[in-house]
Amino acid sequence: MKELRTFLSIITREVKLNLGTGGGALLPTAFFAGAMLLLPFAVGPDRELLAKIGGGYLWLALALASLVSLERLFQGDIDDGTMEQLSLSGLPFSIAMLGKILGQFVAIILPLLVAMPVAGLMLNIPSEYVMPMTFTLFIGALAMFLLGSVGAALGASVKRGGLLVALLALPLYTPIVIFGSSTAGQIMMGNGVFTQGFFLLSAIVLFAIVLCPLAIAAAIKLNLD
Amino acid sequence: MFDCTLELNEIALKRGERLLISGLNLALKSGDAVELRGVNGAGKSTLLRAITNMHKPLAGKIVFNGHGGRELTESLCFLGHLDAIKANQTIKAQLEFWCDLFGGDRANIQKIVTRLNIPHLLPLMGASLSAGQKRRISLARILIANRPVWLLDEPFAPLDEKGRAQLGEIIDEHRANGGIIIAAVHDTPNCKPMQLLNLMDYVPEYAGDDL
Repeated sequence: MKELRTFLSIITREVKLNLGTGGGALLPTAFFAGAMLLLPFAVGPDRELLAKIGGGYLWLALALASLVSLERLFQGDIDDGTMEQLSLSGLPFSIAMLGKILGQFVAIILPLLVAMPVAGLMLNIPSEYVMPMTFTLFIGALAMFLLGSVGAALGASVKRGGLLVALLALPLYTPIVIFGSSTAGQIMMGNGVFTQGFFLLSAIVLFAIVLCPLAIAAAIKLNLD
Repeated sequence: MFDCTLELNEIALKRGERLLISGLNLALKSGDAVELRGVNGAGKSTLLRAITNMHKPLAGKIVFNGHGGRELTESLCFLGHLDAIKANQTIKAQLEFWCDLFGGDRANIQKIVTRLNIPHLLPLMGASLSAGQKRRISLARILIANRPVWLLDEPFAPLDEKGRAQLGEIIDEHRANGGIIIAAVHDTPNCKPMQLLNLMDYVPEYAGDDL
């Protein structure tokens, strides 16, 4: 039970720090909302067109919004020495890192989950499809977060390494966006959430949740030396 | 009371391309304390980081026994140059986090901060603390964690006179309680005499001129 207490303490700390003053958990949401607001101005307020491209556009906006938070994911804790102390928690370092990622994910996804249905309605997605769409975006955001944090961990040794992190993470996002927007298309055709694209997306999440913490732990360990 | 032993066998350390020390042997048991000496860049911090498993030594083995069969990383506290204090969170919240992380007892926090004369810092944000105050918070973190092995990297440096005396007392107490301490220092610390370990004795001969 001691391990569980340690693990939960890492998660709750991340949530509190990110949602607290200067935590920056709202940044991806602001980015996402901004992208939604600008779309009708960019392509014109044609409701049919918006509904047609809406599903795919939600995924594009999510991918870019999730990049915004990646740079600072590990940097702060490495710079101020928290990472050194985390390595002495008694948990395997990869599990400690998993806690850190999950905590950040919770802090960042909560405001995004509020923004997503609103964005769906703004894009003229039929109201009965908004919740299934939000659900798949939630799963997709988890996949992006896990894969993206590998890039963040590798780029953490570089000051102002945002560009490097984006370059490392974006190729990993490709399959997520492909399967995500294919699911969005299926939802819009009335086939429901549980279609092939969604299963592959879920497979990516399961794969990533096991392997990414190991890769992240290895990359951060290099930084601690 | 802690009961444990820590052994360093034939440790060699390398930083970048430079061999810092080689052939370092050290055997410590509960109650032992080592004063780590050496010029800047001799490898004091690197040695401490090697024991914490953050740095991989070039050669040698570190063996830890006791403390209920726990791993060394689960049995040590590290006080480095970085204080791990977040600017935008209250000290109270941060100490509670460290307590949970290291499996300490939250009921002890109040007692420990009173002991270190820092209860007035608890409601403050990390950003408003001075270097000495941050060091006291780090000491509180170590006391809260309640682990046997302490690795202290220049623990006295930013402290005022009273703080140094107090840290000396805390170190003596920890030894009496069966703890093991390795401290990198430059001045004679305000505590009972420790075993002296001068890293300059382990510098490989051909590298002597570099230092």
